[in-house]
Amino acid sequence: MIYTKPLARLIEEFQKLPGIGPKSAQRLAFHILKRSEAEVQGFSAALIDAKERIGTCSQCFNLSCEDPCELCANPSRDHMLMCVVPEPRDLFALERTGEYKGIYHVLEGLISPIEGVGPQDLRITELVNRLTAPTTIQEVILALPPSVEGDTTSLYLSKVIKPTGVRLTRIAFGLPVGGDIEYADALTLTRAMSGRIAI
Amino acid sequence: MWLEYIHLRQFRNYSDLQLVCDPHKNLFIGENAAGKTNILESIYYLSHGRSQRTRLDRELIGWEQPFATIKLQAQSHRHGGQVVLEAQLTLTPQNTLKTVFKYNGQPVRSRSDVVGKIPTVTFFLNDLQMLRGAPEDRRNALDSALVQYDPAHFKRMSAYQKVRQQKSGLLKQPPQSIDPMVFDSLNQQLSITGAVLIQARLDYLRQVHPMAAQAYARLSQCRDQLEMQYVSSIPLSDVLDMAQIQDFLYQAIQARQADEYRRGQVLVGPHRDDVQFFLDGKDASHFGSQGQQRSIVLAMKLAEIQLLKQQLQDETPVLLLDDVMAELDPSRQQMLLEHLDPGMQVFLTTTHLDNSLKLFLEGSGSVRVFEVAKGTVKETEIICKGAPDVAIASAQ
Ligand SMILES: [Zn+2]
Repeated sequence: MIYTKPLARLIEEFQKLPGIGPKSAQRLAFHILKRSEAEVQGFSAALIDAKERIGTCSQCFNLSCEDPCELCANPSRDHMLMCVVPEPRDLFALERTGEYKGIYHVLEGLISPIEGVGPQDLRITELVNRLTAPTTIQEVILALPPSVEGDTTSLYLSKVIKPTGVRLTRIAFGLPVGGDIEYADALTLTRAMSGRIAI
Repeated sequence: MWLEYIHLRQFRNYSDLQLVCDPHKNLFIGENAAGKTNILESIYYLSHGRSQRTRLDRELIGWEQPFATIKLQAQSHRHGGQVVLEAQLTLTPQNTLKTVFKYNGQPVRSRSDVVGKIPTVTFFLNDLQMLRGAPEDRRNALDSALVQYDPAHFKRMSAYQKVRQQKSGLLKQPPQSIDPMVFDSLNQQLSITGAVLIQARLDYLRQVHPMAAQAYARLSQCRDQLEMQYVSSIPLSDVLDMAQIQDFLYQAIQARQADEYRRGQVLVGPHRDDVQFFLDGKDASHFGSQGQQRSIVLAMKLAEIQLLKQQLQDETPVLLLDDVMAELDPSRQQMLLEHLDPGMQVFLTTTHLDNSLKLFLEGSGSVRVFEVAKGTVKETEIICKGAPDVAIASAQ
């Protein structure tokens, strides 16, 4: 045992974070020890505060302290237009562009049989409910990545949304996290040639 | 196109190998399992974006080593001078494999960006058994040749493969828990990506066929007509366009849904297709002699070279011949060697030097001979020119 126990524990916790290997974990831990006590108090409070106060919006499943979230509650947003995204981070990416004025629906993932993720694991029932209940929504835009999972989910959603009669479109979503370059390239090729992906 | 320099680190049995190559003929001579094929594999890997021997890239990393690198430096007028390709395979502390590919020193988005940059034609020992082998062998040979002819084929294959993996994952579930709409979504994608794959294969076969038939006629010196046919799970004819192939494929998949549910496997699609060869209308896999079958393979390889040269605007691909010479009878050896473009760079491996190889080394163009033994490669001098008895003298 090289490190004193609390330090070893701190390193261990950092290492549980995504993308953090043993070396980065060590660096972060040493960095924390160099900060003032007040700074570290602030940091740890921010962690607890975020965890305690942030939940999901019961309508769109965005991360939010309020329910419904600021976006769903905002009357100046266009409530006839809904954009479907895989994760909250995709919602934030779209918001940053400032181009989109409608509301959202976060799926909390994409259909991926090899990872054991099926439609029942996503917020698809909730999505269909939002479209079938007396609704303001007239158009749904799918903003899903160009990958096998993104396409499977899009095709699946087109099947379940079609009966509701709501207009459905899919936007080119650049190459966000989860996109697959090779797949996207090959499919761009395919779509250009056949022009008939059914959606 | 020719390779001037190869640098391998922790690749298979080579801890650090640097080779300066001859622009024409490079011969690797050594016992079986000495590591001759590993050198050709490293070239193949950067040319094709994958190994011809394994699907698991981590097997390329030397025993108990954390990483492997392959670096190839080539000269090409098509690229206006030097081309440098590099692959870095690294095992992370979490024991996952990270691969980085570089083109002229710059990391590229994906491995498909290096595919075809150093075009090769490969002729390996097991290619000779292709006609008697499984459909997979003939399919792989077709796709490998196609990737060199049209590097975009790599993406077509990988897109199809990714959809197929997801569908396999779905079919592993008990039939009653498979969501039919997810199944159908994947079938739609499988028929789209599959149709592109089939179309590309058909186009390639249409182009290679007359060249192979001609080469076969020269090789066999008889009137047997070489024909080939793409065998698919869907009905195909020459009039099909992409949309029709896609529709047929989708219908064929739907027709076998019950079987797929029951067997838990993806049963329909281009991953099960085949190429059949016919001599005067008879299936050469069943009725051809071993000699005829080998001539067909040889004719296919010669046609592959011819077509690729045409595609590369007369730049020649690099030829990789692994252990194949000793298995060909003298007339076919001669046929192969005679048809090689004198400007084409060749890498060959062999366990021993026989007469026709000696004659080949003696012919026009420069030669480097390397002795391979247990992970070391030593250049040896060859005394050839003008000497009536061809002999190899060790440089040491
Ligand atoms: Zn909301």
